[in-house]
Amino acid sequence: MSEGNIYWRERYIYIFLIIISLLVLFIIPQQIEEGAPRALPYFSISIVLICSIGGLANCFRKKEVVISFSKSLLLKLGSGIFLYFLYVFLIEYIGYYILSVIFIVLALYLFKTRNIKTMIFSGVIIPLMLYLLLEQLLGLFMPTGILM
Amino acid sequence: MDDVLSGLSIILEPTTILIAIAGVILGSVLGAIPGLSATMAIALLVPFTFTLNPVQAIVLLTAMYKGGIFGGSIAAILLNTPGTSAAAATAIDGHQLARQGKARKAIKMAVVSSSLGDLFAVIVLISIAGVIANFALEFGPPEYTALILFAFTVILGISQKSIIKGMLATVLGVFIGTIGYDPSTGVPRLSFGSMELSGGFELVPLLIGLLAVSQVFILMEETFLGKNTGNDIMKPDDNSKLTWQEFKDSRLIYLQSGAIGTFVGSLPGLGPTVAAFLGRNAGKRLAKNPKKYGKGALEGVAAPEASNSAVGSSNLIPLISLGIPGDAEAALILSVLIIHGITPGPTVFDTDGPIIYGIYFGILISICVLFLFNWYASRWVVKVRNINVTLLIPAILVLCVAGSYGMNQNMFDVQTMFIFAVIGYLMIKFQFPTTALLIGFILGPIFESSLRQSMILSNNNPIIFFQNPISLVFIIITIMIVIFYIIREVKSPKNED
Repeated sequence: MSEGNIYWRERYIYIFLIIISLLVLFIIPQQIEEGAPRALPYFSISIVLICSIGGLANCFRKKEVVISFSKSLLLKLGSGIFLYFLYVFLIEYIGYYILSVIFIVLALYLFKTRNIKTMIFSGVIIPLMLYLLLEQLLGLFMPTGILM
Repeated sequence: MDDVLSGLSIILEPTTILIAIAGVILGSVLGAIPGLSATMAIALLVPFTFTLNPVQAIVLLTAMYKGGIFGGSIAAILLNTPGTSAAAATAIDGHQLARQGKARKAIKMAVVSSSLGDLFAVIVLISIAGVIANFALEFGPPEYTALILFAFTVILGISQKSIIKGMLATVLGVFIGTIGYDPSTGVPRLSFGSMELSGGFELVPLLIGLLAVSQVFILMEETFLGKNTGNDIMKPDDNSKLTWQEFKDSRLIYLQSGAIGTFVGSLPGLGPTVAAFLGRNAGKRLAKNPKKYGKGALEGVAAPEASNSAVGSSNLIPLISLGIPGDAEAALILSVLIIHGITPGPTVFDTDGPIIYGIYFGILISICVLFLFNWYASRWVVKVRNINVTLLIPAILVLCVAGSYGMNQNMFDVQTMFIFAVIGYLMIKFQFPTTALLIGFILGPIFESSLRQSMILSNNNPIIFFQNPISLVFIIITIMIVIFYIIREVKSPKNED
């Protein structure tokens, strides 16, 4: 293990799942009516809990998966995923096509594309082709956002 | 016979044939780009297929899948970077041949063996799917419950390294499937008063997030790490041809590997990668010169190719006859059939016979197109390797949003897609099988309905599963598999670090 890297261990996943399963087991009586509708949620989440405990035990018994990220990679990847998160959650307010142009240009910038022509060309051509495919050919209407 | 003729008339429409051609070309091109898997490509297409008729939709997906698997093999032979994991076994001998200046010979052998392996699987599919479906007509709720339980158990094997991970992913999928209205009583479950959650998670955004966007996140990571670079190593003067003798030398391998691929594909959870390695290992025994195996033997290309291609058709056997998807591709095809109001299973031949026969003919046409296209154009397909992946990533992500939104015109579906993309990414990184979660999500509600009907029939007495011979057999096999898994898990080596 090298210094400066960030490590995520498999055991964290199991600990997270154990907490979630216990929480769901506690919530089920308040969220689901008594009787048959409760059976499968109870049954499945109980198995999730048992498997998570088994998985956690295995992490100590055997070799567990450890994924490592350098800080710069985590920053870049995190930025990429965060950019997509913003894109997904802002579409209904700003609109699919306008936001797609912005998203593509920013994503290309993140991937170290510095050629302005490539960025503008991709940013315009991809949404334009999607517009033709979705709205003109398939009749799928995407959120218009501020264009409304 | 009427159904067969009706199916033939559907498939012979020029649009359907054009769709098969487009699917093979698009799949071959995408499959040749490392990082873009065949499954991811068809996951992206699923929401756009509802404007097509069911046969065209399935033909498009299967043609693309076959093209994608083969495109992965071209990249494996020429660049030693398998476009798909299923092509990893092909890379061993295929790339050695390419280094010896016999890339074209290797590709042509791969084309021939893929087509023959796939053809073998289609013949088996056509021959036995109907027979199994007829047999399964006898199934009542207890048999179905036991069958799905059996399928769940086999799917656990998807995670070769840890049964716990396979089980966790499957059961998590079942649990996620319970969120929303209860199918029998209409009571909302775990909806927290949210209108969107009351309806539960939709299949299409879940599968796009889990199978497509998660892979794009992986691709992003690899791009940041400076992977995804490579050059075409095919020599311009490579005119090596596949001779008739070389074709004949591998005739038993086509058959053996086709049979292995067909068997593996018809079992839930194993998939083309396992089939390719099993086929490759078995092929060594039939090779003319086994010592050459691994150092550039044509049989080393023929064997894995026939096996992995056979899976693409044989995985439809449990799907069409029993309504049980065995892998991600079958799950995607099932989702398309559901979108079109078709429920695969024992009664599908009675209710939608022409469509099923149309799909069979469509697959046969896809095999012909795959053969012709890749026989003549494969050397150019690999040129797509020069496409800058960084340009594709934003395009795919934008398309995934459109695909998730398009079905119900609902932003909740897009947000669902994103959440499952993050879950899928973490699952891939920590080696949990995403396909198991997807299949658990699909089969969970069917399992619940069958289980409840069985319990009503027996006045809540579980003895009903042991009274019926068919369900008893499934239960016994399930228990045996579970015992096998437990022994394997306990005996697996402890950490020596």
